[in-house]
Amino acid sequence: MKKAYYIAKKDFFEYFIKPPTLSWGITFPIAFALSFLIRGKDLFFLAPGLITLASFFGTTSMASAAIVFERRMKEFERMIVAPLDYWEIVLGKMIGSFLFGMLTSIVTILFIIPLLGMYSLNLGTLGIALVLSSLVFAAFGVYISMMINDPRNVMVILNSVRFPMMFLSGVFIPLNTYPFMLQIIAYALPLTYEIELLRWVLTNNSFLNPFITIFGSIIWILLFFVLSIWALKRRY
Amino acid sequence: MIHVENLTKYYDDLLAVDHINFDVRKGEIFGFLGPNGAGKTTTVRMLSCLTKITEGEAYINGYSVKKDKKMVKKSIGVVQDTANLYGDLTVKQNLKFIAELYGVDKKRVNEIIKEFELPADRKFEKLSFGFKKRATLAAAVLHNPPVLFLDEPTVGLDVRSSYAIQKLILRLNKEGHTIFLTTHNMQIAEKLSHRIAIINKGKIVAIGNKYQLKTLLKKKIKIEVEISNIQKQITSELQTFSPRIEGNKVIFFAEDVHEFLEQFYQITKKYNIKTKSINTVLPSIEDVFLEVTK
Ligand SMILES: Nc1ncnc2c1ncn2[C@@H]1O[C@H](COP(=O)(O)OP(=O)(O)OP(=O)(O)O)[C@@H](O)[C@H]1O
Ligand SMILES: [Mg+2]
Repeated sequence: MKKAYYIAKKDFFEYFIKPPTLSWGITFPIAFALSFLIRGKDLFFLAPGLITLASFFGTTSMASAAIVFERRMKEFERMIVAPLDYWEIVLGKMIGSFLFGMLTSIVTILFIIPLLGMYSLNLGTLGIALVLSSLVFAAFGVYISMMINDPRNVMVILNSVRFPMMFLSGVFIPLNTYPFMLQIIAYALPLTYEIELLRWVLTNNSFLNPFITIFGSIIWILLFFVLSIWALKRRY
Repeated sequence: MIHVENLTKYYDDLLAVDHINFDVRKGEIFGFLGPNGAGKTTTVRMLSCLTKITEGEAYINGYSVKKDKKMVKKSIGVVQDTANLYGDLTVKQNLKFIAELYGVDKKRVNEIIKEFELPADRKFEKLSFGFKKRATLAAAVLHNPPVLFLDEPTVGLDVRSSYAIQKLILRLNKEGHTIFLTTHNMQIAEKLSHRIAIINKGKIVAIGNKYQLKTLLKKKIKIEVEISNIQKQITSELQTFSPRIEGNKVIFFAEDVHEFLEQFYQITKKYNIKTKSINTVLPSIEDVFLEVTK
């Protein structure tokens, strides 16, 4: 457990201010959110999705920097050669990405909330939603980064996963207006649950029941955590 | 200290290491010598739990590499063939992190920085190649492991840095570390190792100390001749003496000097070649290497 913390701490110092993490993790989501908010009419509808996307892009970028780039330079193998358990490595990498996700979502929220005048938020539920969603994305990012075989393709692969998810998870169009098949797909994507959870926190008007989204989030976290350990075991 | 039985590695269909067997004794520097692509790195990676063993078994410090990974990992320090510390962290930050991973007292970090004469506050990526190697070596011995794996620790270094690393290796060995050293540099293998295994195309083709290895040569007398002009005929007609051109000299190997001289004299006369000098010299590990890796 302690060793997971050391890994996260090291990643925090090493990657938080690196250009790829910064541009994909903070600048891009904020610019993206702002461009929508300035044009968009439906601010209240868009806000939860945009904030969640910021965290989604932030955590997955961080995970890919901290895992895929390290795998390419074989720095990652330092942790394999050391007497650690695989779950400690996965957890360490997850915590680092999680912190970055928290940071990006908080920064985005600080931008968006004044625009919407949402001052009477319940900080407790907001906190729970942000923590859960950042954990889901961190676990998801770690898993994808463990699975990528050729590190040179990381951005291509990551974006070929991220962009379709973005359009299928009800960020821009309400879920209940999706055709039935797309709705099924949407409910199979972790991003949907996190957007819906935040939608419930911010507007109290979500398509999915908060118990389902909270329970679903926990399942996603455990699933990707276990899958990541499995991916690591398979490789080494 | 290291016991290897029928160790084998396939990368899909490619057989990289082919049923090798050897033992490394406690306190020994064991040279693992082989040409490019012979399977040296693959062997190190299997023994240090970095890649799965396809077949066979290996024991380090009494622990099974397949079953008792954690104890094996505690018993070894590894210097890989790439300088794989974290580029954006300073030397000290790197070593601190590794100390944390191994549960080593932080005081040891300062000790080792002194001992290896490392620039504590420089970023790892800014170090010269020689200091990168030094720092990775320091990182490998931080937790004082009984066994050290060094994969090509001197490759790409200039003479002075290479010499410094060699001195460090000898010192670490004196301090009690058993060392498994891969290299394709014969001089270094010969100079540092107590025993040497030569690996070629995944198979161990020779093993022993340098005297034992030299007895493997079938033709034990090495003759160096310097002639007026090297012509094809001299190598083709004296094929039985395994000729090899090195600079302005031709090297031959013979079982019997007399027999060689007779034939050599005939050929030089026939083609009107003048002999400038002729010497017998001691065969080197390189000669053994070239013979067994043919
Ligand atoms: N990850 C890998 N996937 C597939 N083949 C590999 C992999 N790593 C090594 N090989 C192949 O296995 C064989 C042995 O390679 P290895 O790196 O062990 O040799 P080496 O003796 O360390 O060579 P060098 O002196 O170049 O470092 C080579 O044919 C190499 O191409
Ligand atoms: Mg190698």
